[in-house]
Amino acid sequence: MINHQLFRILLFLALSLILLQLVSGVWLFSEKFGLTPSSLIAYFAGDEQKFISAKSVEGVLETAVPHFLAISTTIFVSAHFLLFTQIISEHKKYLLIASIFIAALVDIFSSFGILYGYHLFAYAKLIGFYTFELLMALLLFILFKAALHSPSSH
Amino acid sequence: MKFLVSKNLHTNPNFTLLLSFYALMMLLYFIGDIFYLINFFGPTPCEVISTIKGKAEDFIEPLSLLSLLEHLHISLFLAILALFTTMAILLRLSLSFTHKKWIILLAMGSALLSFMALLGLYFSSKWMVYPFILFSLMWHLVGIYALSIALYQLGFKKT
Repeated sequence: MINHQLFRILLFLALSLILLQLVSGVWLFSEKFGLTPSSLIAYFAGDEQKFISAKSVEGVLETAVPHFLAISTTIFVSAHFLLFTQIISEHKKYLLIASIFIAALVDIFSSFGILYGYHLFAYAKLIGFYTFELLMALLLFILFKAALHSPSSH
Repeated sequence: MKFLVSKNLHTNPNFTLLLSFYALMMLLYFIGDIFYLINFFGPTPCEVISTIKGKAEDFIEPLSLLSLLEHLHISLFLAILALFTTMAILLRLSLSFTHKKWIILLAMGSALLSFMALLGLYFSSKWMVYPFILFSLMWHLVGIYALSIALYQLGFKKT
């Protein structure tokens, strides 16, 4: 039988590390791509006036492919704890988990759209990215609350 | 990782085999990562400072913020995965509550502090190099210690 107090300590520290991972993701995104549609278009599709060359498909794949693994693992590890909490309803859990995965997919796939010249995808990428980060923050908030307060949060 | 901690370690030989090889590979990750960090940042505090802040007399450029963030982002993900699964195995080992608690606190806590110390070293004082090295070593060594106990109990201790 696993001691609940130990499990709660582990969960709290793991969630803190995931929160730091989330913060580093936002920071890296803003440093690398910028947080506006025009900066995203310049990064992926290139900008002759700023002497920025367009990215290759290989370059985008190098970022996208590891993110399929990393993001899905992070969501899975975090969100599977949600199933054992009672803080939000089952329907809201369903919506939250589905929305996080969809937002992550929109974020990752939009890079290819920008690369092929469809500049509207810059907005989609930003919306996907912001939505993903906000929903992950919400998920972590719920789990922190469960780890700190609920006796049956494990 | 609920599925990793939902069975007794010794009831299913295949599960024991799976966990043993997983623990072995994780052990190699913790050991290998120490060598990677030494290779990336340098083996001494002075060299770590030179790598991050640069050294004009040796013509060493400071580490760019983008490189630092990329390192932090990737290393943090790997650390979370390795530590979390290792601690999930640890929860099922035959150890006292206090022993397990200290392993979890030292491993996970020092990992968190090591990444924060790295940011502190980049943005503020050079003295942050000492907590960075200390906490980095600590979470790797505690991880190695936890996995060594896991491998010992999986291999030798029949209950």
